[in-house]
Amino acid sequence: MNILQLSVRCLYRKWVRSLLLFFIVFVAAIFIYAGWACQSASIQIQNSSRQSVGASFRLEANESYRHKQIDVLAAELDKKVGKNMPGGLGGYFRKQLASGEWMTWTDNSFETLKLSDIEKIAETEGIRAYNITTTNTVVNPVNFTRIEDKDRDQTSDQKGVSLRGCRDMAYDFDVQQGNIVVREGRMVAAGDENVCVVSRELATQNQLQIGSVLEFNDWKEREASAVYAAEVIGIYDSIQKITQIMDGDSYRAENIIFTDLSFPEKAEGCENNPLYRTATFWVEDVDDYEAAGEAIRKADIDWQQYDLLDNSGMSDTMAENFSGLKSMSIMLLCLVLASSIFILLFVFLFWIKNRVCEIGILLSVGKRKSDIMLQMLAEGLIVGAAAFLLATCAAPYVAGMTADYLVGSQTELDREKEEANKGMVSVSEDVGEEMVVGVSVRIQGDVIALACISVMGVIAVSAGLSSFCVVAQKPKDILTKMS
Amino acid sequence: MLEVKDVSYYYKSQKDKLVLDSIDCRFEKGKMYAILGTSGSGKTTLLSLLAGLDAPVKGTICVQGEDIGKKGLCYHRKHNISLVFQNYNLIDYLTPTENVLLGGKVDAQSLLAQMGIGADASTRSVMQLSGGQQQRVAIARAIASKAPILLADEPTGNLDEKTAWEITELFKLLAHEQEKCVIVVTHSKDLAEEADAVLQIKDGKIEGR
Repeated sequence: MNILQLSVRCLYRKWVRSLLLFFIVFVAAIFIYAGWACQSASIQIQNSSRQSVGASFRLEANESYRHKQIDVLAAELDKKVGKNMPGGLGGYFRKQLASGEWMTWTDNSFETLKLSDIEKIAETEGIRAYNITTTNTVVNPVNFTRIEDKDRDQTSDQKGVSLRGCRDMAYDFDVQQGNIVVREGRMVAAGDENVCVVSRELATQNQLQIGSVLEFNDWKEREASAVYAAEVIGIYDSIQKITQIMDGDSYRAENIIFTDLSFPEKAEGCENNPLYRTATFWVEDVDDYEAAGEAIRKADIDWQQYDLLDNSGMSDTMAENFSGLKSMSIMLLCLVLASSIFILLFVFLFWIKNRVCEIGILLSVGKRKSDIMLQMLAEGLIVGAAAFLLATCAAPYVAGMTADYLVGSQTELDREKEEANKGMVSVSEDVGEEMVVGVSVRIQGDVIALACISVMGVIAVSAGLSSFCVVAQKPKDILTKMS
Repeated sequence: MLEVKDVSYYYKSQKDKLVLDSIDCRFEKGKMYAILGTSGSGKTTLLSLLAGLDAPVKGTICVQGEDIGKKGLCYHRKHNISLVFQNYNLIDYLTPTENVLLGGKVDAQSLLAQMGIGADASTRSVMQLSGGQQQRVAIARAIASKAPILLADEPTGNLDEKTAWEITELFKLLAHEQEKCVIVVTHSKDLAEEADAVLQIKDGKIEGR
């Protein structure tokens, strides 16, 4: 009789014991599944202030990835120039101030959306048009005055105006929302250079007309920096005030000037170093909106860097970029693996200690110790395989529930932290209220393979260790125990 | 056939106390041997060494002139010897037929029939058999291995007088008709009287033959 025949007979005829092992492995397997699946979970987040309009998708940088990248670059810079040394790497910089404190900052090359990625998405089937918008760039108005609230203390303001570069202004969020209308002149179009569209209020105050030329330079070096000129090609009227992203008159709605895509970086003194904040992609056929979204998500770009928001403000965030979900799921996985090995080790030890007689008989008929260990392993693996198959069916539900629980507790933790920090930590931009509306866990090939390896590994380690404890003894000692 | 040359044995925990002290003996095929001795005399230890369940501290055990350690004790257990125990030692989740097949590839059903185990009993759980039937299955398993040496440790210790006599006859038959070398460790004087030769062990030494 070979090992497999013995294993099958033992499992079949000692069915109560086999069922107990089956149940334990099943529970361990679904939690192992949950651990692996949570690491690649997608969290659907809704942000009312960041949604795209109409049949479009909006691409933005992922904030969590940005923070992680800063940590990575800081660590690499430590290695490159040494700890507490000034320097820069990949758009991340640091220097020590006279006060002894350290200042860190990032430049446009670090913060911008990659043009190559935007173009890849734009080439996706089903996309009819796209627009790129730069970040609101504050610059100094050289030959005109801005709209100011006279009663307001301006000491902490940059005393500038905001430039918003667009590839195609017709597809700008505020134009599409109907917040602004260009009633005089035209909008900025793709390929334009050194042009701008100003608000009615700004035009009136400065007696600007189509064809007027506005001059701008870097607000930080008003006297010394180069001056760049842009021709006014349009004047917009506000139907509804553009939402102000930060406090101060530099950001007030009337002081927002739309320009061509490359003008803000020049006026800021960073020519050829743009800072693209969002990209919007318009779907060809509204009925194919969902399909277009799927096609975009398949584009060959590093998605962990980005959030893709749909017209309801929904975006998918990978577990890796959602607070500490990935680290929590790793912890869960480690905990489950360790406790599974621990529990299974004891189950197998108990099992094998009760089989000393059988082991003695097998040794006395000339079976090798390795064959006996293999038999124990085969029994574990057969039960494990059956339990794993059942766990595969149950995994989507359990993994989904686990991911929901982890995301829920993580969101609650973040909320508590936010409450505690209220008024103590400044925020750079109003990013709006984010709401987790769902967690999607997909049990796919890679997750199944990883879970399978983990479950079988746990069984192999536990069965191997426990059978070794018995088989390592001399046959004579085993037979003495038998009698 | 089986030769024990100057074999000594002690437990690692009691190195100063020899369980077997320079034993020399020889066992031939076609004969039934009985090893007699009081409890703790070393007879079961000698049987363990003959079975290759442990290795002697000193001396050698040879089969057909070859040291059993040369090809390994596992090889020795598989090819040279078969074992029968006092408490039968059958695997409880296997049927009598399957237990016999553990010994080797044979027609287990007819072998069991020769041992007086019917077709009905041979497919039942071994736990449902009587002590005598279980010992017959254990002997059938030993025969199935086709090993030339059969070692038995108190094979009749748990059996009634009639069954013990039947088992003893079976051993004699195996020795005289199947040319096996049967070595039986026993307390039983009745069984020893049936043997072709008797070895008396006392305090780890052979006192009489």
